[in-house]
Amino acid sequence: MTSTSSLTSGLQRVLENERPRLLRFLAARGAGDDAEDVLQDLWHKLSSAEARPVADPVSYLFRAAENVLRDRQRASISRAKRQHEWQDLSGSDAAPQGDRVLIARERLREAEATLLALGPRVDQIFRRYRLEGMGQAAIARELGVSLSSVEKDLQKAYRALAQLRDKFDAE
Amino acid sequence: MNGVTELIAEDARSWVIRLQDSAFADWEAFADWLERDPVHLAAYNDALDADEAMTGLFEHAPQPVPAQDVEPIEAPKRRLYWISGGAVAAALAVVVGWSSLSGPGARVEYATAPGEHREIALADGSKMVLNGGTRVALLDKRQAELVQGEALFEVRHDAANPFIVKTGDAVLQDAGTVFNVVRDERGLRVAVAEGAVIYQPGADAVHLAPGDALVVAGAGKPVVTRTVPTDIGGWRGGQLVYRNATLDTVAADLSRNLGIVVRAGKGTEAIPFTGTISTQGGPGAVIERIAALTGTRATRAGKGWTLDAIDGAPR
Repeated sequence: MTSTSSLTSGLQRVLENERPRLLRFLAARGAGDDAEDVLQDLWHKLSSAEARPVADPVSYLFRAAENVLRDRQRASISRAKRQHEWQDLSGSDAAPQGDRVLIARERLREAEATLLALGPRVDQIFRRYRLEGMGQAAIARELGVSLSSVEKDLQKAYRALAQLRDKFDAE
Repeated sequence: MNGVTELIAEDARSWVIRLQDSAFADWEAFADWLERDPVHLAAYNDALDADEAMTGLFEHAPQPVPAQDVEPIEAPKRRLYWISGGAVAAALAVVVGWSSLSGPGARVEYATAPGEHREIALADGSKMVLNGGTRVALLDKRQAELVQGEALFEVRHDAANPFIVKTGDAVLQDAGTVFNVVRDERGLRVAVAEGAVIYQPGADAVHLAPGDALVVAGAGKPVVTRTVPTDIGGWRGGQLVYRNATLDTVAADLSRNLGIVVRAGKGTEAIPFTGTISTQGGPGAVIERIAALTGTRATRAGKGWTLDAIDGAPR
């Protein structure tokens, strides 16, 4: 039996081997000076993570690096935003809680209508893929359509939602 | 805006989409694309923001649930994100069960063949997902009986009218819940992913919180251990997750999921298994994988497979 510690250090070994490729990826991904820190975070995550066999360790590490980077970027954005809001406090206030719920509900309704307008299949594929986390290949099998149709439908859905986001932002 | 043409924005969205697939492995090509033009990174981040903002709308969608006197529950986030592919042909839509009129309400039974998964939506918005080789009877709107096999229950909670799952002589009562139940020849297994479940409400009640797993072997006493909530019901997405499980249990689960008979042979009792098994890629490939992972040898036995300990070759 593979023991817990050997599995974990296995992934850490892969991380060491892949360090140059991961650093290149993180640099391209805009990590800047944080690239080394991201790998350090990842290293610690690997040692505290539940040990389990990973099908494709290299791909697993790239995805994990992407996730760590995203978390860090998100955290720094919300820090900046908080500071910004702090400065804004005296000025225009944010919408009251109740209004915000109403707005969210209205926007959700609009997003749902947008997806449905693209056809029931686009709507279904988007939900399966993005909300339920099903893979494209599995969706293609389930619906009996080609992989490229699934891809095209997803493109349509994401494009329409991005346009809707721009519209919301302008409101 | 700042050099991002519609064409580049489209490419950026393609990458966002592709990366979300758990089967994505083309990280080098993604890095190549990012490096080709500094504008690509800006476009990608923008596409990512749009995706998160819009998906956030769906994930935090206000639920059409009647007011409850408990604290608001966050909309359950499906964690299937990490579960790969999913060879699950979840037969949605109309499920034809057979009904036999017995007792006051119509009893409707749903059954799956080994290797088949089936999802059943109930009138109140609750859901049952049946693993292979499973029989579930719906006794009324809020009562089900697991006759045999494995099912995941996603229950719309109503404190005044709790959802009840009977199995054997055990009763499980939900308290706002996603939970998985297995009933087979080795006994009963219950694992709670979200909310809470009460096992045998009454004097002997056992309260189960998220991450709790209850095992009752035969007529024995219930034993509660811990598991990882997000792993519960992983079989729906083609993943079986174990921590210190006996090979016997793994073999029974594989039989249900693959639709072939898998047995744990002599000498395997002492081999505990911790890890994740993908049930995708056809039974032969899965059997090969499990043998490699557990350090056993798989041999054909009749129509099925037996996993035997490899003597003198400890791994």
